[in-house]
Amino acid sequence: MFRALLFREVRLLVASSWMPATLMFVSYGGFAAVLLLAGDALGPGLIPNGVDLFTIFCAVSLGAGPLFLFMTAPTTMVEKSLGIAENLLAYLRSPRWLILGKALFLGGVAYSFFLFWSAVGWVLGLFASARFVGSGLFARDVVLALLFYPLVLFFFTLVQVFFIYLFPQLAQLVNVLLFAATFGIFSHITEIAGSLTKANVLAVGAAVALLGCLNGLLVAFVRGLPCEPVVRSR
Amino acid sequence: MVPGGSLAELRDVTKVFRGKKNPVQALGGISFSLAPGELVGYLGPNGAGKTTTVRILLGLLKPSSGTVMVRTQRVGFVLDVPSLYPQLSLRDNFRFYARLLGVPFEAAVAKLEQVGMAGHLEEKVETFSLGMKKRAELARALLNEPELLLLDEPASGLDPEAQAALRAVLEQQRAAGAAILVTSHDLYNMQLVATRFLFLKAGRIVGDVPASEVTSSQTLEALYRERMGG
Repeated sequence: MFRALLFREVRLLVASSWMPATLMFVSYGGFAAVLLLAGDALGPGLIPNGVDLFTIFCAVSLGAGPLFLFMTAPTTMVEKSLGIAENLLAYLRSPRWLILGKALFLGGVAYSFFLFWSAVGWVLGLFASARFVGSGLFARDVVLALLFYPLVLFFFTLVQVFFIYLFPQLAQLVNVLLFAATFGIFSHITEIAGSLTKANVLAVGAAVALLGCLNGLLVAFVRGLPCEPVVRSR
Repeated sequence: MVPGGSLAELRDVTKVFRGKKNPVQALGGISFSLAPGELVGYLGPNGAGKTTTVRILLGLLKPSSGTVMVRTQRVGFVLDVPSLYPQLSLRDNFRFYARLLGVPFEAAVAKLEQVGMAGHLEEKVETFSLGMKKRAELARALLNEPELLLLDEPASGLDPEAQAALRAVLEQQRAAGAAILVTSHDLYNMQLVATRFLFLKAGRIVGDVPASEVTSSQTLEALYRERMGG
């Protein structure tokens, strides 16, 4: 079943959303390149202590995450509005994998782009004057890349997919709100993670724990959802 | 298969939709069962509750009260909404559903051959005519060799040739022992294939007639009018 749903997501992405996916991939590369060039031009002395190019890349690409979801939403909307989702539900007997599977897939695509360009930035940064990952910040950046970032991205993706399937009339509004929320995170992420004080380490830990709980609650809620609300919201 | 028993059964099933304004009773306590080798024509006007019944049998809607029993995992269905992704080719659609149901793709192609659609594998579904889409939907419904087949208006939009092909497929499935429920307004085709007729009016079954009592489509139409009070 999981392989089938994954196959469907890949085929739909290739058939209907290849343009947004390509734009997203290129944009991430563009962000990383601009940061490296700007870092080189400014020199390492102008970048605040505790903030490295990776932290800025993390914030900028996180801001682009909802944009990717916004661009791929029409494919899910078609599935929902035509009634294809109802047919799938009749086979699956629960909306859990329909919603969780799509959220994992779309979040996974955006996250893999982020990881790819982070790795490219890190390697290229070794040859630049302003390091992509600041010296002494590797452990903090790994936590951001492997915990904080995917948790935020999965949360955004799951919320958006949930609204498309259950409250399609609100889905676009939710997406705009998520997009706006990234600006809040954008402005705070560098501040929170900016220096390795005890308070900031605790703040990052608390944020990771909170996001983990939120995601866990959402997943538990979706797992218990019956088919009827999805069927009736078409 | 359940020897001698029914494959699906509804007992005193009601369904009330709680809308924004007033609650709407879609089903007012219906009971019937579907036995292997039986093809039931489920007849009634628009809004009688036919589609709601099919959705309840499929587990898409929860009954407000009553009992629903489906005694097989192999359920095939055609809903009144499409199941195929218009932007994908027929091959990709069937590859997906074959994987979902754990069926080899070759078996899926055989089902497409059965409905005369195997020659369109590389075409996108959005380029199909309504009749082609309906035939492909029927092939998809047969993928898991269903013991219980639920079809919601499968003949609507089909030309006479495609209707004959549909009847042939239904006969084949019935002869193989499947229990089949077909909702329809098409009394002519129903009279040709059904073994039993259920008349549904305003969420209640107002007639349960074996096909042996119906000798022609005119007789069926007269019965329909009589039961619907028209």
